[in-house]
Amino acid sequence: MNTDNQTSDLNQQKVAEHLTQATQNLDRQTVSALQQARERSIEKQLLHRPALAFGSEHGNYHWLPHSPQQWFTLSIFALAILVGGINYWHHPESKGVSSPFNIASVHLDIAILTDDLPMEVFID
Amino acid sequence: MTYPWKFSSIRELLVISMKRFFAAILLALALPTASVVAAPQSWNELTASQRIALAPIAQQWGQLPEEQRQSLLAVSQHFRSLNSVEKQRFTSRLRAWSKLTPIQRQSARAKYQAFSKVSKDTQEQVRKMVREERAK
Repeated sequence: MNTDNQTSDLNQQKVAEHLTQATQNLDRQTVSALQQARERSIEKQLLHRPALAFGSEHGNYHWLPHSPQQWFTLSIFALAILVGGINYWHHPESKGVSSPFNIASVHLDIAILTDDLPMEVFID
Repeated sequence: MTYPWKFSSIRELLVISMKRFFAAILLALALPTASVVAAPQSWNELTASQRIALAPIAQQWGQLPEEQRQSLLAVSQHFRSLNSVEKQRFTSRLRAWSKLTPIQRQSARAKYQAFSKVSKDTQEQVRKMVREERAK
């Protein structure tokens, strides 16, 4: 059994060596044809690639990140949105009528500050 | 030796670059929202027109709560569009206005709003009464 495995490994190694040698000795026409075939294949793949997907090294695309780098990028992006959202929520201009300086309040402040009636009339 | 078919195609490279570019744009849009909104403005950071409008409270500016400063900045944006009499009233009242408590300011707004909803005749009667009272 062990000998069989060793023979198989050797064969695979030899096959790999032969293939490497063969690719190094390929003529220009074959190289060019292989290159064109690869580009055509990539173009087809790009057409079928979903716009919002995470790519892997093997050319597969997933809806969820699967590498540490992708998780990191997604986490940074999510964090940026979260921080932006929290700040927007806490910013008085983004609040409703109760905000001390919503547009209506601003106009009322200007009216009080510029009316010919003295300001004290409206102050308790 | 490197094999030509091991290189990525230009199109593939462009697609990856575009993806990263759009991700960077989205990040750039999200992050300033966080920083700009929270940044407090010192008196020296105000624009010239803001400083002119808010000049009466220049000394107190640093001590005012962030929320009130934002409110006053919003009000100051309209200063330029006021006529000279209104500008004079605005300038003379601003310091007293800024010293009021938030509740007093809110109450004054409510009263002014209520006053502006009564008929023009009634408004004019009140204005006349106040003028007469002040003339005494």
